[in-house]
Amino acid sequence: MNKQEFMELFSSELETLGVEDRADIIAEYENHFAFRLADGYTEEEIAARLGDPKLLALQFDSEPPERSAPRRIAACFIAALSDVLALVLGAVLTAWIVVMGAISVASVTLGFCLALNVNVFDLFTEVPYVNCLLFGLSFIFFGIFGASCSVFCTMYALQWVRVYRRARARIFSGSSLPEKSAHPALGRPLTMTLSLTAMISLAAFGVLFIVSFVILALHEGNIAFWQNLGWFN
Amino acid sequence: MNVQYKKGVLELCVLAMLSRADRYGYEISETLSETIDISDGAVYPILRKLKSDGLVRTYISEDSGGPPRKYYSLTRTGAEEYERARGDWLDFAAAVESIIKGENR
Repeated sequence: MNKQEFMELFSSELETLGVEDRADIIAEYENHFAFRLADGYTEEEIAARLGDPKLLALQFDSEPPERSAPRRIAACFIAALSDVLALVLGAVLTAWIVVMGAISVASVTLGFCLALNVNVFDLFTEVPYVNCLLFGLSFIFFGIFGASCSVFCTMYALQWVRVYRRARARIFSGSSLPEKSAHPALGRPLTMTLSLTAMISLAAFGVLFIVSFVILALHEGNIAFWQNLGWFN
Repeated sequence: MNVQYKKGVLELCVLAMLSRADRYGYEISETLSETIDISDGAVYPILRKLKSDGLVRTYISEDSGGPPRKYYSLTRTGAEEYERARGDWLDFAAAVESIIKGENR
């Protein structure tokens, strides 16, 4: 079989199978002939080494099944459904991150006001300064804890966006794109720093808050010291 | 060797070659058909499948004054998939080797 015979048989076989991008495939084999001829092989040798054109054409037939209309419609339907779910989940997650961030900022602000004894708008009633300082510090630590949690959540949210986009591409290509990991690739040092910060600040918040509570309760001689101080009235 | 068996491994070989440098189709076909006993034409369907899976992309380059050549390069997804498949293969090969050599019993 010479080159012309091979190519004619091959392209008519591709056409029968309804393979797309035939020109592209044929060009690749034309190139192959050109390279081999330049290396001194005869057309017959090259064609023989390429293999049976019919079998070769069949190997191009295993294309993704997305071409059939019903499958495409099904894919669109699934994608649309999961988009709605993803949007709702995304909104909840975003809201959670925003709320957590806001609580952190408020907590840190309150902490600084207390620690520096700045009584904005006369909000606080008189308590010993030691307690102001301890409560203030505990609130600052609580804020730091909240902030590191929001950073962690944000990173997970961003990774989930990537995972979702990959999953969506998989629905449409119906093929073997690898799945993405659900965990963000944060790198060890960053993860360690974040979780350490979160744990230390949570512990510091707990300890300082309890210590301050005990001191104030002893000072006022009442475990429900806020009754004496006229809080929440 | 069994054709289906080879086909899966060939994808890994193509990804491995592309992970080291961008290459044109003939270059890959020549290397693989010389080292693994497959027909010269078998590499092109694999390249096409990898492309439609989004693991490789193509571009035309006219360097070295010759005719324009279609080069294949790994996409980011392709690089990820290569790392995964490479690990799978090495684990698998090590397990098979230890069984063949009777190291387990």
